[in-house]
Amino acid sequence: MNEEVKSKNRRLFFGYVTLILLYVLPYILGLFQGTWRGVPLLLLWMMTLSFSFVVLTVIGYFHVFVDWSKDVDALIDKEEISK
Amino acid sequence: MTIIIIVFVCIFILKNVFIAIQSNKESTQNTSAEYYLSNNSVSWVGLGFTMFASWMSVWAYLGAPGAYYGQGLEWLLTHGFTGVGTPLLLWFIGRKMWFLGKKNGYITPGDLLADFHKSKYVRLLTGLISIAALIPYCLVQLIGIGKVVASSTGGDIPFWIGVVVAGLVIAFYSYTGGIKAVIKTDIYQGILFGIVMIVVASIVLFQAGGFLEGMGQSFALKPHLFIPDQAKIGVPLTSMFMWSLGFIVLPHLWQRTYMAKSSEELSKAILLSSVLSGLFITFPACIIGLISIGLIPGLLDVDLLMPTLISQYFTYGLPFLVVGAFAAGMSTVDSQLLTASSVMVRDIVEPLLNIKLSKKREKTVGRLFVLAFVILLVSVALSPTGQGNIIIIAGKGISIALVSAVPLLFPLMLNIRSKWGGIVSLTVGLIATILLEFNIVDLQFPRHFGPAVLVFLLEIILYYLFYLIEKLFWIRNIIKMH
Repeated sequence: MNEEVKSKNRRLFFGYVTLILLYVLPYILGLFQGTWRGVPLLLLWMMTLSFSFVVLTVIGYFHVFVDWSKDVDALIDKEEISK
Repeated sequence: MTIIIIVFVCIFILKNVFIAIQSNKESTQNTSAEYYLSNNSVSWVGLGFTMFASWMSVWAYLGAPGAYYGQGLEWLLTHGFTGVGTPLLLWFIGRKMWFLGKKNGYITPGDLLADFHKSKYVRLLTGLISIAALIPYCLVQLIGIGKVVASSTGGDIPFWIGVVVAGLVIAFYSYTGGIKAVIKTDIYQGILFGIVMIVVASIVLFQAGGFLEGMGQSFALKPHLFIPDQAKIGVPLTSMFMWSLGFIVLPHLWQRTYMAKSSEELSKAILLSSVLSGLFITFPACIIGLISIGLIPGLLDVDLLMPTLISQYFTYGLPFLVVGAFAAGMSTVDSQLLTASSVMVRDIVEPLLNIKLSKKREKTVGRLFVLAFVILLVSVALSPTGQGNIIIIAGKGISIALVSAVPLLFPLMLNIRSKWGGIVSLTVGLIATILLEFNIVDLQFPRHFGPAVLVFLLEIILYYLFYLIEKLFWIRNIIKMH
């Protein structure tokens, strides 16, 4: 894997870790106790973050894994790895 | 209405039978690699849908809305996380498994772990864990189908008929068509139950007068379901850990990481599966379950939330609900059956009898095991032990599957390999999980953390300890030689 792809890969991983922390910590620490129009803020926060996970996966695919896949497929062709 | 439901189910079943026969005709090589993995040549659409449909089974279709209804935010922490848990694991762990599978021609989880640890016992233990994990997980699919059929027809068709019919059809098309039939059926079954989830969520939103109105009513009625219980924080954290890591170690999903034609197809499949899971399951289930707290309070069996909602607000939707339940359950059991049969042949029968079956013989023995496994599942589903809450039973299967996570992650991610670490951690992990999950030993953990997390930590310690001991002996031998 070339350095550029490795670096993008690392950034994506930290992106995921950040989102996970933003998702879990308010629940564990009991933050966002209030309501907005009668709906608990924590619920809205968690649903938004949950949707962000899907968005990050879409970004991750186009930003990182298109390049990664090309690298690996080239490697497989080169080494003639087949069943 | 019962007649209409029967007609819908018959059309659905005939479609699956037709696909199985067609796939059998298309089979050219008659080998186990073709039967179980379609010769590692599955395209991203097929792989994405089969990952989605095999993971998002009856537990997602019936169990998840019910779990939101019964547990509130606690379940959102788990279920909302699967949207990141699954792609994260597949991107960073699954693609390595795929690469090794492609390179070495792996078929089962035991192939990979035995190769890592160079041990026949690791293969055997992985095989036992895989079968033990698949039994409860398969069971909930049949139980779910039986429950929906009985509830939607008002008891005209009893629970046992639903279970037996689903078992027979799955056995037929898995036996006949192999993985090709499973992937083809998974595509349209996935679309079908995804649409049902969206339709039910829309009905619930409409009945409640919108998202904010509905959630507000539910919060006003049961506020405690929307406030985290700090004293029991271990419960949702354990289930979050289980239901995310479980995705990669459940044997039928593990096997799916081997199937992709190329890494590009695998990447696209991961994207497709994750987006489908998020948009068609996680969000609709969350809306259905949480808004229903205020909409239909007092429901006792939470697994019946979906049929209750449809009966109450959209009676003509019942046939679609029943067919959706068949689709959700069957798309998972068929995959699991094929995995169980490959595991039985390659990881249990061959190492135990010390023989190597030919590729054609492997396929034949595997097919016979498919039939035997279905008979076992139907019998357990109809016995009193088979009754219970869908999420709880499925969770036990995932907890057992997690036993193989440590011997997978150490060599794969950290390049740390220990033969005895593998054997000991798998043995101790399996025994401890069975003792704790089935309440043979009753232990209370701090903050209500569940057995899965504790067993995982115990396995990490054991694996690393044996790795250090093996390294010490290796250094000693080197010194002696010099």
